[in-house]
Amino acid sequence: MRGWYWYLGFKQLKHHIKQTMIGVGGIAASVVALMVILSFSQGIEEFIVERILLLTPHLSVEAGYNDFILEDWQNSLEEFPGVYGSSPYLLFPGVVQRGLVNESVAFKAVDWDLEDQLFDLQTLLDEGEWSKIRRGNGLVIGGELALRLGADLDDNITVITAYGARNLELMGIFYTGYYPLDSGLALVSLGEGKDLLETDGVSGYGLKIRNLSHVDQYILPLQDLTGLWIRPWYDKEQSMFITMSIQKVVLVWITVFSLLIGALGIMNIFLLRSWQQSRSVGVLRTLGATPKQIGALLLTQGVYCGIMGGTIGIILARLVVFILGRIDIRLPQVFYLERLPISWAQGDLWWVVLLALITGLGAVVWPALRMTRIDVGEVLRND
Amino acid sequence: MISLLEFRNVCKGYPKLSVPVIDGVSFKIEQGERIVVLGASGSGKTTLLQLMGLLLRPDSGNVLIEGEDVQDWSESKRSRWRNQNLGYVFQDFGLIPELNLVDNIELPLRIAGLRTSGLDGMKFLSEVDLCGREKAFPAEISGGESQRVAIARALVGHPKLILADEPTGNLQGQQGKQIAELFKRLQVKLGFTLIVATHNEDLIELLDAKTWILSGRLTKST
Repeated sequence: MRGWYWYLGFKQLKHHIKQTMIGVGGIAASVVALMVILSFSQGIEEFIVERILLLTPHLSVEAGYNDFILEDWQNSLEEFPGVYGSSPYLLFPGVVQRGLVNESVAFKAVDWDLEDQLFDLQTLLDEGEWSKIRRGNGLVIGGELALRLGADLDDNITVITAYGARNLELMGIFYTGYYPLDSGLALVSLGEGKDLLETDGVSGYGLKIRNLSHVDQYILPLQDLTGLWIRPWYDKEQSMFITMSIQKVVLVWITVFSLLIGALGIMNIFLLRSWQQSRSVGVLRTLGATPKQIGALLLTQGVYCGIMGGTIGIILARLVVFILGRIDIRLPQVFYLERLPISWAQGDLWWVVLLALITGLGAVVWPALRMTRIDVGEVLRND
Repeated sequence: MISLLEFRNVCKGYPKLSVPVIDGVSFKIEQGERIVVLGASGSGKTTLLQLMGLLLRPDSGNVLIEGEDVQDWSESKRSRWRNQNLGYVFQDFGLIPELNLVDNIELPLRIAGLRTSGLDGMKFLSEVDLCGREKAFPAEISGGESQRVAIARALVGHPKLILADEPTGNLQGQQGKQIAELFKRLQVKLGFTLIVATHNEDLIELLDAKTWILSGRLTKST
């Protein structure tokens, strides 16, 4: 068998199982911490994306700043390959007022039926009747906004825009679970919006596509078709995603440092072992082992520790994530998440395992170098 | 005729010592010889054996293996030569504690890159009269048995040269005698060259060997 050191390395680890498990345990614990943090991070991201997409189109076809689209693109967009829904909208800023309470909001005027095809508005309705909403010219707002205004269904809400003010009946209250939408979006009918803004055009069209992961591939072809500005769903949430990425990177680095502390533990164990095994190294040299093979004997043990620590860590982490996913961890209201979301970070699995392997290997480099430099004549002396 | 091993005026010292431990030693060793190197503690027996086993490099002089000067041999060539031509037996047996007896015996074959199945180990375990102990670990057997296993390991690769450094030093009288007899029996059977470094003069008679006396310089007494 080539690479006898794999065989002997395994036997030595097995023989010193307690020491080995301390080293492996250090790596496994760090891998668990790393995977759980990554899973929380992914869970939060998935949670937020899911909520954003409840009322945000995958792609928006927009005219640009201070401009309206006057041409009717509805049919052309719906027939575009990969697009399965399109809905025109008017988007404009304004204020809703009830009594003495004013709240700034983004108004979105939509065709109720087309919008319902895109977002399943009926299921998002917390209060109100869908049949009444699609027939009338009322107002639909998020649950948080209703709470702030102290408004109930059928209340009159004053809608104030740059083009004027009017009273609208509150016909529905929706709930997405995403705070910015629930507190800052107000829906009115497209007719009402056009009336308010005194235009026949629209601000844009919201599109839903079949494969969300390929959203970027639609941008250029749609731009070529319409000559308009195409924005993917995440474009308006860039700052939030950048913040989340920075938080994730910081957390990952903190955990990677904990992995390095685990590596120091292994290095300690193997340095001690390299002292204890000096005589065995001398014996192996008389049997024909080269200094490189002697170094490899310890490096293989580092690899084994890394693989074992990584594997055990991944299994434990999967278990922890599974359990946490089923425990209802209530959070303070400030987070606006009713429970802490967690989703197994499958995509990060391989680099975490690779990191564990590198940790195990890196931790034994110094002890291995020390073993290759042992003075054979000295360690084989009888006295 | 080309000698198995030849030393030409070899000197070896250590930085902490003012005089060389091996001082201008020259000899030739032929295939199949039995030699006992006698000397007191610190006389340079271990150093001489380590020079013979190419574990140390001389400060001056030449070491020739089958007529070839090993001065320029790389570390890996020296290791390969040791693996294929040398068996080394230690006073403290030098068994690997993490391996069972069969695995210990077959370790030189694994290092040579050969596939092992346990048969070679079992065969040589039976040569040293330890049948049935193949799964035991070094910590579970006596000193005499450990030295038998060490001898089996030294012989498993069919080496031309066996170097034994105080092989009976850690054994009591009867066990030492048995080891000496085992060495002689196997040497006669397998024909390897045997060089034993010891301060135990009884081994000369037991091994029926030539005697060299070492005290810095080498004196061949018989």
